[in-house]
Amino acid sequence: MGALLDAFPQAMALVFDPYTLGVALVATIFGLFVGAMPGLTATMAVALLIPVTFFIPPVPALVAIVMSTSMAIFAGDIPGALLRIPGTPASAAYADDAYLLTKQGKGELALGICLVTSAIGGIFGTIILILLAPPLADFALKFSMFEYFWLVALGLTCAVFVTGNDLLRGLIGLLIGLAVACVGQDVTAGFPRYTFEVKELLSGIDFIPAMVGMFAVSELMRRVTETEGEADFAQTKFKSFFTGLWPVLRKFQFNIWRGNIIGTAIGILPGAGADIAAWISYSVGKKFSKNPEMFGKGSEEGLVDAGAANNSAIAGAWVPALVFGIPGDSVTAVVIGMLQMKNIQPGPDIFTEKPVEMTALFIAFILANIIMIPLGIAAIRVAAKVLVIQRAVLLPLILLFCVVGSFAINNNSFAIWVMLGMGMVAWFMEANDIPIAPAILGIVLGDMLEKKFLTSMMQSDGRLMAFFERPIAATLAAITVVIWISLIWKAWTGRGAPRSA
Amino acid sequence: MGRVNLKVSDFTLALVLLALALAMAVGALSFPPMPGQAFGPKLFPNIVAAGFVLCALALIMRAVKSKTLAISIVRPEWWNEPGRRGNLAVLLGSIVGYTLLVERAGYVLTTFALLVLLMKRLGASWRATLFASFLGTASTYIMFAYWLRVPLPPGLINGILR
Repeated sequence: MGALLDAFPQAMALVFDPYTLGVALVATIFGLFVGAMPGLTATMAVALLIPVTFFIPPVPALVAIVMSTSMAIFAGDIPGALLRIPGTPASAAYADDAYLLTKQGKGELALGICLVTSAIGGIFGTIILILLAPPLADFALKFSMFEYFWLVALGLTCAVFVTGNDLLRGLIGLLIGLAVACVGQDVTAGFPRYTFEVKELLSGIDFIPAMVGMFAVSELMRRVTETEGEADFAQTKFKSFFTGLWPVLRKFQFNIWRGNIIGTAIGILPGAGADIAAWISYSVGKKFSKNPEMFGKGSEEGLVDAGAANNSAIAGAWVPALVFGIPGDSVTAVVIGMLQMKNIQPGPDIFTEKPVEMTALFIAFILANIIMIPLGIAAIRVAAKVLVIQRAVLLPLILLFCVVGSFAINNNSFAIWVMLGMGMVAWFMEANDIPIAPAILGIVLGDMLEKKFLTSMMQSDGRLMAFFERPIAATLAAITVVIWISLIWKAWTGRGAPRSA
Repeated sequence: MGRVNLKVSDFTLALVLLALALAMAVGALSFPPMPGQAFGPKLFPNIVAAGFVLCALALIMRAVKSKTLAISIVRPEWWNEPGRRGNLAVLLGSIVGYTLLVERAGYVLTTFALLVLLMKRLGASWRATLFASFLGTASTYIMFAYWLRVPLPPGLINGILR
C-alpha cells in the first residue's frame, strides 16, 4: 500500500496530463457511442481500442480502457429505456422496466436511476478494488507454482460454472479456447504445435486479432443478415434528470448496497462480468421485494437493483486480473493481453513493480464514474439523434476498425486471416449456444495452466501428490474438485441441462 | 430478437467435436517427448482432445434420450429471405479480398473501395456512402499513419499524400 501512496502525486500528474485527458475524452465518447448502439458491447469497444492502445504509453492506454468500459456499460441503458433494446447485454435484465417507465412519462427518472446507480456502483467497485487487490497481492506473494496451477484451474472452472444454464456447452466452449491455446510453440520444450509451417503461428494464435474477430466480426456476421427495424423512440426530449430522483434512491438505498456488493463479487468471479451481475442482482431483488409483481413491468426498484450491480462488476473484475492474471470478465481478458504487450506482467508483484500505473488506474476509475454523470446526461440528450445512424453506414465502419486494428499490431495481413477465422468460429459457437466467455478464458489461461503444471511436475520430480501437499494448494484443489463433482452431479441428474429441449 | 443462425443438432455437434479431437490427437502423435520427464508437449493437446470426446459422448447420450439422433443443420430463419445470404457472402468475401489486395494496392484505395462496396450492398444512399467512406478512410489513415505511426501499406495514392 505504501508504494501506491508514494506514487500518488506522479500518477495524478500522469492522469491529468493534457495528452492523457485528450485520450480519455475520445475514449469516453467512443465508449458512450459503442455502448449505446444496440449489439455493440463493452468488450467489443475494448477489443477495437486495443490496437490503438498498443501504440500509446501505458497510463493513457489504461485510462482509455477504463473510460470506455465504464461509459459503455452505462450507455447500454439508454436504448433500453428509449427503444426497449438493450445497448449491451449488461442492460438486458431491466430493459423492459426502463422502457415501460419511460412510456409512463418517467423517462428522466428511469435514466436518472440508471445513471446515478451506475456511478455509485462504479465507485463502490473501485473502492473494493483499491482495498482488496494490494493486500491480496501481498498474500499471493507466498504462492508457489502449485497454488497458481490450482488458481488457474479454479478460474477456468468458475468460467464454466457461471455461464449459461447448459454446463456441457460451457465446457465445450472452454475446451475450444484451450485447443486454440495449444497452437504455437509449446511452453516448455518450444516444439511447434499445429503451426503447419506458418511462421506467424509459432508464437500462437495472435491474441488481439482473435479477440477482434470473436467480439466484433462475429457480431457483424449476425447483423448483416438481420433486418433493420424503424427506431421508435419512447421519448426524445428530456427535462431535469434529478427531479424526484433522490426520494427514490433514498427509499431503495438498501438495494443499492446489495446491488453493489453482488455486482463486485460477481465481477471478481472469473468469467462472469457486468451482464451476469445485473441478472443476478435483479433476480435477488425480485425475490426479496415487497412488490415482485412489478419487476419487468416498470419497477423502479428492479432498475436500482440491476443498475447498481453492473457497473460495480467492471472494477471487481480487475481484482483477479491484476493480482493473479486471471481475468474476472471478458473485458479484463482483453486487458491482460494488452498489459503483457506493454511489459506489465499481471501478478502479485504488480503493485510493487508498477505502482504508478496501478495508482493511475485507480484514479482513472474514480474519475470515470464522476464524469459519467455530466457526460451521461449529454449522451442521453443526443441519443435520439445518434441512434438513428444507418446500419448500412455503421457496420462497414466497424469492419474497417477491425481490419485496420488487426493489421496494425504486427503490420502484417496474416492477422486479418486470424481475425476472420476466429470470427467465424465465434459466430458458429454463438449460433449453437456455446458460450464465448469460457473460450476466451481458455485462450488467455491455456498457456499458463500448461506451464504451471509442467514446471510443477519438474520441480516435484513427477509426483502428482505434490499438488495437494501445501495447505493453500490443497484448499484450492478441494474447492476445484468439489465444484467439478457438483457440476457432474448436476449434469447427471439432468438439472444442468437446458430446461426447454 | 430472433437470432437463429447456423444451428446444428446435438448429434452433428458431437461429430464435429469428435473430428476435432481426432485431428488434435493425430497431430500430437508427432510431438516429441520431453527428455527425462513424464509429460511433454503432447499432454495438453491430448487432454483437450479427450475432453472433446467426453463432451461428444454426453451430447450423443442427450440425442439418444430425446430421440433426435440425426445429422441435421437447422436453416436459419433468414436463409430464404432475399439478399441475406448475399450480405453475409459479400461481408466475408470483402474481408478476404481486402486482405489479398491491401499490401498491393495500398491502404487508402483498398479501404475506400471496401467501404463503398459494403455500404452500397447494405443499402446506403450514394451521398451517405461517399461521405462516410471518405471520412472513415481519411480518419483512420490520419490516426494510424500520423498519430500512431503505423506504416500502413503504401500504394498509388499514399505517394501523392506524402
